[in-house]
Amino acid sequence: MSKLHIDSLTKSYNNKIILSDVFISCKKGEIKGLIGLNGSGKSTLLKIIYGAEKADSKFVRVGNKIIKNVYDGRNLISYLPQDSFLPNNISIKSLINLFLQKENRPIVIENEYVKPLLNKKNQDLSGGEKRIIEILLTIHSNAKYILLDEPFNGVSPIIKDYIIEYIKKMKLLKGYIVTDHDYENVINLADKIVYLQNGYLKEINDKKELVELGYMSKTTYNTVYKT
Amino acid sequence: MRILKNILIFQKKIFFISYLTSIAIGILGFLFTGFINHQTIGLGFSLIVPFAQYYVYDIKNKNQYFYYYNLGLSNIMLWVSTFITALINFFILIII
Repeated sequence: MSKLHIDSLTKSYNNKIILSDVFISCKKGEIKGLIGLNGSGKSTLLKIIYGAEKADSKFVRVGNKIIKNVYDGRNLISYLPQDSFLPNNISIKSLINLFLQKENRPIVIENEYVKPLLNKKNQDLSGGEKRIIEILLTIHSNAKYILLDEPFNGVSPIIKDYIIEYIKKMKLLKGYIVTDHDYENVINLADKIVYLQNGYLKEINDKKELVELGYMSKTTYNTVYKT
Repeated sequence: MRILKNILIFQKKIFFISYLTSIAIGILGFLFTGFINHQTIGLGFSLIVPFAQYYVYDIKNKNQYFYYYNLGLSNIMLWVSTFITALINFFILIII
């Protein structure tokens, strides 16, 4: 499968550079974790890759196909936004049928967490229930690359673990770029970690670098990774 | 067919608001003139539709655009679909 390649991506707001000459790539079977402090531009980066937000400059390509907007990226890139994006007043079963192609529907309809919700409407679900449906719909879309922006927003720990395992199980078929405000989720899930700071992306090879970069305190590092 | 159904879902909210508003304009017109003018309702409807999309999606439910983007429907395509449906409704209303 063709690689997702992003380079020369630059974005500024009011003369402040948010993303500077960013390079990132992802291949099939890879989960790339994107971390950074609040407001560092993680969501903006994903939206630009997806084509929903304009950049000052960018080059996004999947194989030979250059992605300039969401239409170019159809069937190639899917995006899960931070907040709920499903329309209301439609049953979950209908939404699955409307969103997914026929061959991708059974796996979602038969899912243990989705099955009891099929006849409910989106607005009647809890935040966690909505989230798991949105994640499954995004993962099982026809796209080859999945961008997940804070997929664990509002989900209980047991569902969070389920989602992590589910994405790991599904990763052979697609490439993923995942971001979350909780670094532990991303670190547990991703094969490779990239850190966004002051508009620049840095690949993290050792978690200790996160302390040096000021993302994590030494105490947290010692508590979480040295015990 | 799946995409067409999704466009109709996108339009449903816009048209609900637009129809209600244009019917209200029609009733107001009736109160002042004593007769219902379909052309005025049709024209009112076509003018309200873009504002209804802006209100429903760009202000109230901005995130729902991502649902349609993930189906390969761009912002321009959604706006064009709104204008086309508004035109069709306008012609239906002026023909009646």
